[in-house]
Amino acid sequence: MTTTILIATGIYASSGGGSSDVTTPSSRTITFTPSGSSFAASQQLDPTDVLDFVLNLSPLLENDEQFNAVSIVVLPAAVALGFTILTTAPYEPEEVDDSHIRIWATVDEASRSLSAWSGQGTICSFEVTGVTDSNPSRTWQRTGSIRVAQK
Amino acid sequence: MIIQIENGTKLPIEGVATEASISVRGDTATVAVDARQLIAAPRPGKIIEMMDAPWEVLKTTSRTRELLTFTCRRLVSG
Repeated sequence: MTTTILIATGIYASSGGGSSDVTTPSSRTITFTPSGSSFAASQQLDPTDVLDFVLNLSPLLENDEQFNAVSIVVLPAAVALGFTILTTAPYEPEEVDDSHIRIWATVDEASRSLSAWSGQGTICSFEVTGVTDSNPSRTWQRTGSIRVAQK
Repeated sequence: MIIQIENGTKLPIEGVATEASISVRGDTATVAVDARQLIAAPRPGKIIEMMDAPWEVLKTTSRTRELLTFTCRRLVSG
């Protein structure tokens, strides 16, 4: 008897809103929900990596609702350690679709040897604030995080 | 969809040789600074000058060899 195992992983490819051709695996997808207190990527970032992460905001939306604007602010502790969300081409943030955003994260070159990245590394957090197009609009704010550790 | 990224605000603060990363919510600020640039962590109750205003240090929230974070409260004059 043979057993077939099907493994499906969610991948997000650009739908045309951005200029990249990358697909992002589910291990680098952070899903934000109305409840819950921890929204983290399961895959870690090495301080020298420059990697894409997808922010999945769809659970926050009602039917036919979209986000008009999303701001992402890296929190002070992460900023001080050199954790950065890139903003310039080809690594600028892009809208994958109406509820998914792709960002690229890395650590500043000058900060890549910090002891903060040794062992278990350090969780680097950023605040995501989204305003919807409902009337009146809804505002959602959640804190996402990526663990940065030397591999 | 408009997407805006902010990699933190870095500003000089009194008594610290390097710029600090600061996040302000209302009258409370969270400050993160390179701990290697400090001789001693700001003590609770100390008044520091930041963003052209006096702030009272509330508490140190974390300290490692390279990172110190603490919270401050903006003082209202008058």
